[in-house]
Amino acid sequence: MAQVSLAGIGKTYEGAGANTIAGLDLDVQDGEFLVLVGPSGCGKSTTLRMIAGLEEPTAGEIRIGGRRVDGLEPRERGIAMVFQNYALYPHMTVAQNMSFGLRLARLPRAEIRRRVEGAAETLGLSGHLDRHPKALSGGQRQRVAMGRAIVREPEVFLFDEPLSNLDAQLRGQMRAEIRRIHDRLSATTIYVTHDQVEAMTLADRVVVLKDGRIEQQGSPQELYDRPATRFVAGFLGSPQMNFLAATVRNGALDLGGGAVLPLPPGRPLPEGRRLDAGIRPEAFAAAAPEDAAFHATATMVEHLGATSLVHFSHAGQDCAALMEPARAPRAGQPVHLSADPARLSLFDADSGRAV
Amino acid sequence: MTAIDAQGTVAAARARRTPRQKRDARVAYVFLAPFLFLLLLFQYVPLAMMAKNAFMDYSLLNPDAAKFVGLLNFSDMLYFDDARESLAATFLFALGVVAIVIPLGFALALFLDSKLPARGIVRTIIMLPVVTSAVVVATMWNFLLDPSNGLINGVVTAMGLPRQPFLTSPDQALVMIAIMTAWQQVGFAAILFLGGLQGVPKELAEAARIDGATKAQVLWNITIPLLSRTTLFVVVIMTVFSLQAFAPAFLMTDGGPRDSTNLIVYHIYKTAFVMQNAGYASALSVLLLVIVLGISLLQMWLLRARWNY
Repeated sequence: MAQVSLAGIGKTYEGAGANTIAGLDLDVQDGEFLVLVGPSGCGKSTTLRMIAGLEEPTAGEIRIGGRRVDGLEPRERGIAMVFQNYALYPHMTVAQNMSFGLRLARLPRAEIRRRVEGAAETLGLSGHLDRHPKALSGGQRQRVAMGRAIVREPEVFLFDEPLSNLDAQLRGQMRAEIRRIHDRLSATTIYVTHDQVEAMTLADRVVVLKDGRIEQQGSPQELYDRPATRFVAGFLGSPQMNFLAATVRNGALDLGGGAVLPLPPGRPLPEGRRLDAGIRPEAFAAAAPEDAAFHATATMVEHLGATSLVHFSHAGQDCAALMEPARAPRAGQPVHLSADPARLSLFDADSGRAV
Repeated sequence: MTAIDAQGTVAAARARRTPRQKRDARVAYVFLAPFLFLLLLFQYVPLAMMAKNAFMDYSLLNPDAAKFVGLLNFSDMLYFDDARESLAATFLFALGVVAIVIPLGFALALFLDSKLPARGIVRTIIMLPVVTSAVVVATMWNFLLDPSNGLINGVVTAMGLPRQPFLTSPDQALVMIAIMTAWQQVGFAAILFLGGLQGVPKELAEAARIDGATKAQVLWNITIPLLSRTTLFVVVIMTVFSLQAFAPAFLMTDGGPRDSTNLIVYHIYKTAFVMQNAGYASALSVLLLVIVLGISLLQMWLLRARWNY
C-alpha cells in the first residue's frame, strides 16, 4: 500500500490559453479514500490520468510510495484504474478481461485462477466468467471493471467517474460496494466524480477542485458544515444552498426584503460590510408570521416524500426551503420562515471567501 | 403455431398501416424509381441476358444464329484448361494484392492515426492513386517497368544488378501487376483501416496500458483483434476487386507472357470479342458472378456481430 503525493503538478495543453492545472499540491495517505470532486473542466480527471500515467504533467512531481513515477509507464506505477465507460475488452470473456494484466505479467496459471475466482466471488460474478461483456448488464460490467482492478492487487486504486453510467438505484448499491471493497483491501483509493452525493458518502477526505486549483479539502462533514468558499458551499449539498446578498447593519444581518437576522454568535463584523449569506434549505424552519424573518409566497412546491422543497422568491433571489410535508404550503400560498443564525455561512461579497 | 402467429401478426400490422404510412411508402417509391429503373435497365436486364447466353452457342457477329446448347459451355470449362488456368492466375493475383495491401494499409492507417507531422500530406499522397483512373495508372507503370528505358530498371542497373524483364517474364509479370494494383489500392485500404481504428474506443488502449501492456502488446492483443471485422471487410473488398481486375492485363501484358497474367475478366473479354464466342464468355461470367457472390455471402456470414463496443 502506498502514499500518493503530488507536488506542484501543472498541466498545460498546447493551444489552450490558460493552464488546465497549475501548481497542484496533494498528499493522499496510505489506505485513504480520497475523492476529487468538481464541475466538468475543473481538472479532476486530468489529475487522475496524470497519476495513472495516461497523461504527463507539464510541471511538478508525482510520487507513489515515495518513488517518483512521473515519466514512468502506467504499468510501472503499481496502480489500477476503473474507467467511466468500463473499458472492457469486448472480444474477451469476463475471466479473460480480469486476467489480462496477470497474463501479461506472466503469473503462474494457478495464481491467476485463484485471483480471478477470488475477485469474481467478492463481486458476485462467479457465474458469469465465461460470458462476453456484451451479455452483461451495466452493473455487471462495472463489477468486471472493478474485478480487473482488484486482481492486480495494486497499491493504488483510481476511479474515474465509475458510476455515472448506472441508474440511480444501482449507483447506490455500487457505491456501498466500492466502499466495502476499499475497507476490505485498505488500498489507497483516489476517486473522481462530479456527483457530490458520491463524494459525501464515499470519502474519508474530499478535495474540491475548481479551474485546476484546490478550492477546499477536508472530511465530507467539515466541507458541508464549514465551506471555505461560496463555490464549495454551492457545490456540495443537494438541494443547493441558498445565497442572499446581505449587509451588516446595526449589529445585525440585513438580508433585504425586510429580513433581518442576528449575526452568527462569535462573529463580530464591521458595520456596512457587504456579504453573501448562505442558508442551507434545511436551515429554514416554518415559523409563526410574527416570529418569521422571511415572508414570501411559495412559487412551487416539490414533494420529495419525507420532506417537501418549497420554492419562493426573496429580494429577487430564488430560494428553496426543506419543510415537513404536513407544514408545507401549496404553491401560491404565503410562507413564513425563520433561519437559525448559527447555521448561516457568510462569504465576502467580492472574493467569495468565508468570513 | 408460433410461425402462424408471427405471420398473423405481420399481416395484422400490414392491415393496420395508416394512411400516413401508405403515403410515406408511395413517396419513397417515387424517389427510388429513377435509380431502380436505371439499375434494372443497365444491370439486371444485361445480367439476365448474360445468364441466358450462357446456355447458347452465340456469337456477336451473327446473333440470329444463336442456338441453345444446354450445359455445353459449362462442360467446356471443365474439358478445356483455359478457365482453370485463368482462374488460377486470377486467384494468385488476388492473393498477392491482398497479401501486400493488408499489412501495408494497416501500417499506413496506424501512421495516419498517430499525431506525427506530415500525415496530412501522406494522406493525400496515398489517396491519389486510388482516385486515378486505372488506365492512367497502368500506362504510367508501363513506363516505369519498361525493360530498356524504365525508371525502375534504371535504379536496378544503377545498383549493379542485371536488367529485369518484369512484364515480359512469365515469372515476374503477375507479381508486377499485383504490386501495381496493390500500390493503387493501398490508400483505400488504409482509409478503411483508419476508420476502423478511429472507431475503437481510446479507453480500451488506456485500460490495456494500465493492465501492463506495452504499445506492441496493445496493438497485438487489443487493436488487431478489435479490427478483425474491418480486416475481413478489406480482404473481401480487395479480393473482389482483384477478381474483377481488367486494366493491367489489357494495357500492360495482353494476358501474357504465356497466359501468366490472363486474368479472368480479360479472358472473358477476349473470348467474347476476339474469339467471338459470346456464349462461352457468358458462361465464364456466370461462374465469376457465382464466385464473387459466394465470397460476399461468406463475408456477410463472418461479419455478423459477435461482440460490439
